[in-house]
Amino acid sequence: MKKGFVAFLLILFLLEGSVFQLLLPQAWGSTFVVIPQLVVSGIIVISLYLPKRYVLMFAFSFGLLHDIVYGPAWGVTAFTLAAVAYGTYLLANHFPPFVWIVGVAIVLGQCCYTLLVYGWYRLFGFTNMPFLFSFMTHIVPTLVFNAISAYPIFRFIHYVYMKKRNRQVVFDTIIR
Amino acid sequence: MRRNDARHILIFVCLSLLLFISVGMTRGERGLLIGPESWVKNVAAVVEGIFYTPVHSALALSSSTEAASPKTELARMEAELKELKRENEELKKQWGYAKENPIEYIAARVVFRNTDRWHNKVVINRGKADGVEPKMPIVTSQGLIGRVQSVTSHMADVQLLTDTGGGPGIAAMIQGENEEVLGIIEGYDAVKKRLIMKKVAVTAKIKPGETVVTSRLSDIYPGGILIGTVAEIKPGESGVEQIAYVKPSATFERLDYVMVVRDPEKLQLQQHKNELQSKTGGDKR
Repeated sequence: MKKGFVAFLLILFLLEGSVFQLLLPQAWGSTFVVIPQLVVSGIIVISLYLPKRYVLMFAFSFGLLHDIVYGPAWGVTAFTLAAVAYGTYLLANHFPPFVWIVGVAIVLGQCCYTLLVYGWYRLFGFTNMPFLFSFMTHIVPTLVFNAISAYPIFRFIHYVYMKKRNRQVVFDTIIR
Repeated sequence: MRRNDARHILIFVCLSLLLFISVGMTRGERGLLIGPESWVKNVAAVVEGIFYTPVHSALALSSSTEAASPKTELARMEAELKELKRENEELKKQWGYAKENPIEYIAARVVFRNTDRWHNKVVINRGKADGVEPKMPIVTSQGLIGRVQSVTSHMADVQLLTDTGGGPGIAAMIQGENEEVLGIIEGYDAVKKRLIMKKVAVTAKIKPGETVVTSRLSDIYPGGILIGTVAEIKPGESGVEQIAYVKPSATFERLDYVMVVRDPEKLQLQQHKNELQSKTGGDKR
């Protein structure tokens, strides 16, 4: 199951930089910029299912991969993604497992992640874009896109988890 | 319980300190990359190229004309023909561009682009093994688009002109009617979508629409590469300079074929500077 999740997240990671960069509005000359953060959605959903050490490990390693391949310096995404995933992990442990909790976790997590990354970039001087401009044209479209695109990702991870979990339980009972 | 909380806070603070240290160590121009980092980057460049190139070709096809043939085989061949035609046109254009300038050009393809637009980076599939060096300018047939930030053996990171963080400035020249005005392009205004050209002499009379090219005096750029046209001029804050807003001539939306400019003269200059630096113990920057 974990190998399947890693493969799924890797595919999302590769799509973010290649296919989505050609399809989203910024590739057609629009002022509005949608940042595809599918891996972030995936990590947030996974943080609601897996134990803590796996969540932190996944978040940190995918964040570091993002930094090496796409980012301006190491550590920004690795730290932010691990912190956000830990936050949603705590959120999931404080509430009963309803589907709308997943929605809330994704919206909150994406919001925190995008704002934090923008904050780090401003702090380290990787961008000089004013806050209000980047909020209206970058952050809001990003949140809308990622909240919608997170639904199929959630369905897929949920499906894999239920399937594998059931099989594991059956297997255990047979052995006993 | 309280002790546990304190431990968590300590871990968090340590991690954020670690973040500052790692960003400080890995930011900016890094030249040639080696070791595991370059392996990850090489693999990413190859794999993402598999996704990027066909999608780009398909989009280029659909935006030019839509093929509507009932026979699938015919449609496929038509599509192939159109793709080849487009490719041929692009390469011809660049060849014509190359013939005018007796400097070596290394053709490359963009394989992927970074996800956000707060900093702007594309990755090309040519590296140190193909003769690409750090700081080399990148052009398309429309003009300058950026410069090489770091290279591995088989790929290179390109910082685009539209990067809002702004790298080191570009020595540029406005070609007026009877005079040439020097200035430095520093940064990009994302709100206006214009490059900012500073340190233009107050006495210079500049009109909107005049061409801006790279200056021959630059350490890294060969002279005469097209950057864009002047869109707006305003006096600087201190009153001893003017600021020109330059509209870049190249488009940055969907990049495919690009060329790395390999100027032997500037390479020698760089080498000479490095030797001087190693003799004197390096500069402070």
